[in-house]
Amino acid sequence: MPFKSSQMVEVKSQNLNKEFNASYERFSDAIFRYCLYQTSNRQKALDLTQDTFIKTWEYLSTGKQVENLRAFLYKVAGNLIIDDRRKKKSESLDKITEQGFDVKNDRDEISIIENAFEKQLALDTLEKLDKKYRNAIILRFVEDMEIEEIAKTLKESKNNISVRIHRGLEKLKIILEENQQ
Amino acid sequence: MENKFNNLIKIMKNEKMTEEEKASVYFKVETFVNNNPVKNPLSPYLKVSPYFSKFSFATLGKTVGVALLLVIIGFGGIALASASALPGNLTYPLKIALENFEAQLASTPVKKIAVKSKIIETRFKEAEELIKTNKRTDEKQAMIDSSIAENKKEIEDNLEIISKENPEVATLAKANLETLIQTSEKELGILITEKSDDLNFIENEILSNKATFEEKFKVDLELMEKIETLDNIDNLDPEIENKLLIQDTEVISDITPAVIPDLSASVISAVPEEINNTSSNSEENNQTNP
Repeated sequence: MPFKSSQMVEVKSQNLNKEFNASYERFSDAIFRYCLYQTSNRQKALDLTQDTFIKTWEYLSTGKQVENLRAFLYKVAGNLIIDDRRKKKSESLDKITEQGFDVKNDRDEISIIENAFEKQLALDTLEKLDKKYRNAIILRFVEDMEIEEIAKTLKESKNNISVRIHRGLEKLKIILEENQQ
Repeated sequence: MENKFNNLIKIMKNEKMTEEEKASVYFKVETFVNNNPVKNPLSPYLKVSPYFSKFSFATLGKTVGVALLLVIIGFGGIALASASALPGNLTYPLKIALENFEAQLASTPVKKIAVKSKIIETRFKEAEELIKTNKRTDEKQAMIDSSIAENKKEIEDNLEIISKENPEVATLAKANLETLIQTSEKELGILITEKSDDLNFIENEILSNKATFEEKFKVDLELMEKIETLDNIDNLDPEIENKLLIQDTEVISDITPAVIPDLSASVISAVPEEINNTSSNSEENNQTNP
């Protein structure tokens, strides 16, 4: 059978598509969480998640190299979050915390309210943390990333990341105690 | 404190998109992916990611080398400028200049083969496009044939270099190149034949329709001549009268004015009598049957 270049293109394209779909299944929730805890806005977090994968595809589809896709996705998400912050720089902290989670369900169930309340509390707590510490805490404890991976994702040294995690935990302790009061 | 922290982390970890949200985001991403397909899935310059591919350029064995070279010959390396510029276009010389520039940048025999293969593939696409758009001329085809031959020769020269280290690879790659060229030429031949058949068909259609038009026109002419020579509409042949009635208004308008008033007058004059007869009958009926 003669070798057709168009067939080869099709095979490569299908492989990349398949693996990209698998990466969405594997990492989309993690990226969503990351965006949510940075923006405190569910709809915004969904949009940023979408944009993260779209930008990643744009990069991959030109044949460029990606060594660690998870880290790459976080990097892209981080950059998009920064861009988003720049756009809404003038918004007050009150407005940001007001946006919080959207409880779309109208069912008046206590568990849903409690859950929403807990989540809101989590959001409020994170909001009070400096974003440098927040990033490190989220990636380490929520996304279970290793220090080295966090360092690559955030383009920092491992020492810096370790210090941020330590300081972030100290700060978090104070905030949680204040919340209790 | 530890409990509170753990609880906080637990809440945060449990957070995720709902099924609807996940599907909605996926749909939008998938739409984008489908509308923006892979541009350069394979490139000799591409470092393969272990995450995305099991194929590693770093682990070269003979079998891997063969696969690599065969893929390059068949695929043609990096996509060059689009094939939209064809022989005869103003930008075509620029396209050729860019190809030559890229060929010069290729530093190894394998890279040169990749670039040259792509050029050959582009030439075949141009030939195909010329045929499809009816712009093919002997001169343009000769330009394409010359470029193919030249690049084929350069590929073969580079394969000679490779054959010193990997004779099997070079032989297979050369065979693959020959097959590619032969297949492409065969496909072009089929396309030329189909196009020629299409043109014959179109020409026949025009000719047959022309005959039909001429016949119709001839009939119209005959009709008009007959009507114009008539002194009295009553002498109108029924067949011709029928044709007159179904004729286009344009044809009717060509008929001399003298004929139309006579025709319409004869029709109108016949009607009132019938109407009068009908009216009087109905009045009588109404009087007898209130």
